[in-house]
Amino acid sequence: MPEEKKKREAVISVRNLSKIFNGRTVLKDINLDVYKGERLIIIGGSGCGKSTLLRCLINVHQADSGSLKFFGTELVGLKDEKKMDEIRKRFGILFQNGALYNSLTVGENVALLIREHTNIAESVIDIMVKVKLELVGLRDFHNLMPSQLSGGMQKRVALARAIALDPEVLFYDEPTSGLDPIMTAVIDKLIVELNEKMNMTSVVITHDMNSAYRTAHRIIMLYKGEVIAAGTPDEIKNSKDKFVQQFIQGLADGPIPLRVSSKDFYEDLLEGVRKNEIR
Amino acid sequence: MIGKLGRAAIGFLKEVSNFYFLMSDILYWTIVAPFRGKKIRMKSAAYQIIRVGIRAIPIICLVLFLVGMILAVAMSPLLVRFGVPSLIANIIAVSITREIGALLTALVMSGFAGASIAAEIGTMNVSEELMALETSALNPVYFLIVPRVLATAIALPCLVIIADIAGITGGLLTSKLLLNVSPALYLQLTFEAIEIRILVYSIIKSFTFGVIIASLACYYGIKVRGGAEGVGKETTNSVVFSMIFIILANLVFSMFYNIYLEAF
Repeated sequence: MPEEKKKREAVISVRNLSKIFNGRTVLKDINLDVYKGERLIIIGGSGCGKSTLLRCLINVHQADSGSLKFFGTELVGLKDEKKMDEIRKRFGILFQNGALYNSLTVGENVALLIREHTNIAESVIDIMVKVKLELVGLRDFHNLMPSQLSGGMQKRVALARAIALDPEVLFYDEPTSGLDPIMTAVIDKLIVELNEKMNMTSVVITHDMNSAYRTAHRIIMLYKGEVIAAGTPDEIKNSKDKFVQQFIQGLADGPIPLRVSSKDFYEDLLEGVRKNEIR
Repeated sequence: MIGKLGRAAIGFLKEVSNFYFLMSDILYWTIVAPFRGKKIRMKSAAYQIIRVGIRAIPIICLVLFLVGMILAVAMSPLLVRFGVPSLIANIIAVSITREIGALLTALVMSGFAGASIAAEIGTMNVSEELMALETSALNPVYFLIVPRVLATAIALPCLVIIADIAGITGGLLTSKLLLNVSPALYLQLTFEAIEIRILVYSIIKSFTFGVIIASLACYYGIKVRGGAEGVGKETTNSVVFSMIFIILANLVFSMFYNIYLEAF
């Protein structure tokens, strides 16, 4: 694997990335490479910084220090919105709750980016929308409103929307949270299929270990804003690290404390609140 | 105490600067961007005009019709005492077209359109739809806010004209019933009283009110944090601050009118 890595192109390259919220270090010296065509799974408990890391990777949050290169373009400190928009067109995101535009139909949701970012004729867009919906197993759903769909279907529509412009990198934020085991397996299968059929690089944030094992080429684990383990699914399974073992086995007792101090707890809460802060 | 004041001052300055950045974004996407090939989403603006404008017509007509009646009822004893009952037409025409029509329409719209826009944007914020737009290289200001601000700014002057007609009609009916002023005379005096400068002043004023309502609603919508509670809180803030700024703006407009237009 290391030899193989050297030959592969890193589409995302993170060096010593740190993010501080109100004096609290949420991400500390993250070093990470995401290689073209791989499925990288980022695991970790609630509040460990994985959502913040995702938001830094997609430049919703600007990192405070370090370097984050996306296809060779430095994103830390990037102020040029036009340049950023060009990069944004190269990745897609599946949000935790789908984040479908509720005032638009399923078809319009999927077609939106194609309409806005290309000059493709409407007749062709219609076909493209049908193909994308077919890919996620939702044929003939284009006229329904998002509110008429179940949670799993909404996630699949959101996935169809995320791949509308055939992005090179696809980010998944907790893609299987709140889904039943069958729907979880369906989403996992889609993650693998999209990666294999369309050669999309995938970065998945999750704390569902079954899902991680099913989809990962490589797993990294975050704890308190730091990468504490990285490796293939087998390497992670056989890790000697007590924190990793407690997390992957889902044990109540172990080095990861069940109780946190009220100060930490409030800061974790504030982190969630700040996600929606006007930047 | 000093610390509290300092924090309040910093919070206030932060609010002002955030609102300033939003307004400069709105101005950029409305005035500069169309010349750089990024056309305003007129279809979306038209949909919003229907949503925030046309649907508000019944409530605005009702409010202004009743206010026209109230003005006529309140003024009639005085006018009878001075022996000039027909003056009611002039008083209602000027007061409604110059001040009350636009002011009351804007206040009703801050509750009708402002609250609706703030709650909608706030809910989109909570459900990560705004983030989804931004990360898809679709600027939320261009995509969502500009059509709403334009729609409200265009709808408000139209609504004010309709509201003025409703108010004058309310006054006309009451004058006929209480003062026996004939509708023909009432209308003749009304048309004599309404001047072009009053209409232009009223339209410019209501356009400004529209911008205030929609931009504040969008600002508070973007500010929403947390869940349903945050949406409720910021929606209320949007309505309260819209009302305050509308009344303040009206005061400035009235002073401007007295200084610069009254003399002509």
